[in-house]
Amino acid sequence: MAGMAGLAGCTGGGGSNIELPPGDARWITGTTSGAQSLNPLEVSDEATNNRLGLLYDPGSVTADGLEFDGRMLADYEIAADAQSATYVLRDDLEWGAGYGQLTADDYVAFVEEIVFGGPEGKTGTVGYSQTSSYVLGGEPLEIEKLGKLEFRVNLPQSRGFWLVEDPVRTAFVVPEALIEKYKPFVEREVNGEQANVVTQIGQDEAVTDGSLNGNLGPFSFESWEKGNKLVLSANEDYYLAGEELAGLGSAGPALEEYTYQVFDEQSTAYSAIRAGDITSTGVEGRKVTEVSESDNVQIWESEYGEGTFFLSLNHRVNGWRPIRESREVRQAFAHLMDKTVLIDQIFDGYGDPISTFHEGWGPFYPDDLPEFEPGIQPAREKFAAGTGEDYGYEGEIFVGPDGEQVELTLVIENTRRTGEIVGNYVKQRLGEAGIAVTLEGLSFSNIISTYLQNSVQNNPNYDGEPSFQASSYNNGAWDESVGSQSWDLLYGVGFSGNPFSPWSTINALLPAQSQFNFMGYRPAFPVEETVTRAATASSEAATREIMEQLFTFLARDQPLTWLFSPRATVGYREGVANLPDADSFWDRPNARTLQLRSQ
Amino acid sequence: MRWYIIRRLAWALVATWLAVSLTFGLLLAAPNPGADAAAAQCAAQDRDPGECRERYLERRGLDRPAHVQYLDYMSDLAAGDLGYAQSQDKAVTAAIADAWVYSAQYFVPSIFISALLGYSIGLYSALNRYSVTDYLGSFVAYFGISIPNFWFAIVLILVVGVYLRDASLFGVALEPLSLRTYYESDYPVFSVRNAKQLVLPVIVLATASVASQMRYSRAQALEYANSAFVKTARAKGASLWRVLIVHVLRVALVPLSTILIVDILAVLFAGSFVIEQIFQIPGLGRLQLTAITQRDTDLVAAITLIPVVLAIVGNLIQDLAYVVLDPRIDYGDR
Repeated sequence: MAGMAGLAGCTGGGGSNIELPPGDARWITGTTSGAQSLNPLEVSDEATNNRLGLLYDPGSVTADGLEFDGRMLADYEIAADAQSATYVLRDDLEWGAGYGQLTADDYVAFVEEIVFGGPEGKTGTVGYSQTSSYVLGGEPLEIEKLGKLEFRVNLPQSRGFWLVEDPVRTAFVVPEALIEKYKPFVEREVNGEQANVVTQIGQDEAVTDGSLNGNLGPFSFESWEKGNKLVLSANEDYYLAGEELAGLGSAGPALEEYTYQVFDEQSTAYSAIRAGDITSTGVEGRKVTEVSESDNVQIWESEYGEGTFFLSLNHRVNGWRPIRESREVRQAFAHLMDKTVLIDQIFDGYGDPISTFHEGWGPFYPDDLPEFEPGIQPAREKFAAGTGEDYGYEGEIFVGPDGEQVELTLVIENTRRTGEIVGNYVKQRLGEAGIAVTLEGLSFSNIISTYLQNSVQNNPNYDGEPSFQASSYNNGAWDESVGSQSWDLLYGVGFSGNPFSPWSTINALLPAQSQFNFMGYRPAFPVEETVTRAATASSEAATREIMEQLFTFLARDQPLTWLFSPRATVGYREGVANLPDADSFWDRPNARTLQLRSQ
Repeated sequence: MRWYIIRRLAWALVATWLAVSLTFGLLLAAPNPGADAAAAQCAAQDRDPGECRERYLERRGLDRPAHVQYLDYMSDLAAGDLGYAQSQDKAVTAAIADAWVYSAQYFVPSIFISALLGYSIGLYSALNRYSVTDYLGSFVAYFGISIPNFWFAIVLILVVGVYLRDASLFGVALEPLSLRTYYESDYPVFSVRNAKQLVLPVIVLATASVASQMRYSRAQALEYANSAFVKTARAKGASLWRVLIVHVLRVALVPLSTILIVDILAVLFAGSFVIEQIFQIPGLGRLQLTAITQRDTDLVAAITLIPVVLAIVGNLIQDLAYVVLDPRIDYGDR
């Protein structure tokens, strides 16, 4: 694993001479996105997941890396062949609202009835949004009860990284009796609309008044103003209260009140943390210096950020031909990019360069990757060598078959500062390499409709039906389907997902017939097959070896110009204690809510 | 007079119908982000996105012909049923009832302050043209008009909310002068803490409105500054403020009251979108913006009714007020 050296830590914004009220145990997290629901079955976004995580514990967490760290699960074991896992629940878990003890029956009912829609498979009527995580290679996993508190999940194939992938371990479940209450599964009217079963359960009084959580979470529900704030108070009955947890000390919670405050305007959140009106908020890399100028703020930083950003290259027939035909030309773009310059300008240094489709610290990032030294001269050489005899340099100018200077169209998202920085930088560097650039700035939604979505109808040189239609972003092969406007380079698309299970992200972007392959890339490498082999390997080491092959190929082939991944940076009010040094991707302060103190 | 009022009320109904119909039509034509999200979610689960989109629309009755949806909505509206606000998970009336209190808390003071200050500065400037105070008044006016609300709000928060906390002047800490950076909805409405946190939103909103009130009142007052009745009043020894308030303001109020209604609706209501977003006030502006972005038809249409009704009723009251302000106006024969 590359880059695992501890770069994380806290940097104070100045002296700590301010005085906070002693015993201030009220925590306010400022955030730009609100929870969509407080229904444990309706979690499809991170904001909702974070809030529900304070009301309901998961089976386990992974604060210390790839290790099981039990919460509601007392024990958890993955079989040696990675084809099954056994779960044992604690025996002191109690639902609220009179639903009694949490047992294996609740998990079994959740998986069989909610995830898979019961014996009749009514997944559409039930409306659970995470079912795909319970289907592996097209086959559903199976759950079987082994005892009152014990159950087993049988996987249809080996999964070397099951600890990370396991949706059961981290799922928010509901009592079996609550599910039974809504049988038979049919759509019913809720607030004037026909609603699925998940929505019906979400309107149950036990869910809406927050009483369902019983002793299952560190906090209890107090109030919720949708889109504004959620207020929780310490749960005195919390099953872990007073217990010693490995690496965390006493489980607490140490806070008396926890509030999620939504900020529509990010700058207000920054002012609020600087003024000490809130306890914490995420801080963009480029704003870290400004925010940390205040004595009241300390910045927590982790190199284990999430997300990969790249310059997209158009391999379709309405893009510059040498891009799809020549690996050398694509490598020439990589030579042009001095990623550290971009990282400094965009993230104020809080980012890391990447050479493949994976975070630099990621578990599968190869130690030895083909690198392309930043420089104009090597780029010029590869442009000249990769484009054939029709192209060539006349002095400083790179000319095409028509004898004119080569001119490329670069599309950027102009509603963000990042787009402008990258656009201007690429234009300048290509100019130095003798290539002219036309910048097209649009909003992201216009980029989608004008360039990313494609169709054979936009291609005047193609009359037939498309050979395949994966989605509106890949509505046919590279020489069939194109966007309504031609383009060559594009910045504004990035991907984020769990770096430990990047299977679906890779398969969505890179295979020739994948759903989001808007670039029309045709990899000379069995991407899907490789990803499947990696995901179904029987050990972590085997998975790592296979993924390293893929990432090495992508670094060499440069289908897109890989740029950078941002680091995680969070601002905390001075006086917040017990912030962890980030040792892993999961080791974030919100994974240690039980330990944090605001004074 | 009675017929005039009846005709105006009838026209109010027509105007309301037009406004609601237009809003309904615009929302119908707009893309549906909820359906798009449902389709995208299904695509991610290897299910048919088209089918998911249709199911989403079907559940909400949005797959019905447009005229059926329209008639359904209008008949519910006529029956007083404003519908359910999906974006808030509560009835539309409840959502508005919860939100208006927050808007009113800074809206009402802003109206009074902007009218009082705007008229005072405008009238005073008119009778003291080309003086330092006139230039100062004009500066205030142009500052208020020129400065974007969102920028002014962000800077005020930064200066008053952040910098004052750590600043000192001649060794005296300025921290007591600092104010909260965002609105805390838990504070009781009638409390000092709540009043303090409303200072910045009121300043931002009133600044924009003061400017236009001041400019109009100054222009109106200038028309009368050299008129015979003003000269007479001055010749009789009336003080400057007596001339301004008793003589000039009395006649200027008729056109100014017209502007006041339009101004309240235009500057203040439009400003509330920005103010509430930046100060995080859970009022009608934020409610409306959330409803628009989430295409919550019932809520958008209902909130649209508020300025429409305010404009219509306000204009009616203003027309009636003309009679009181200017005895020469009489609707008796209309």
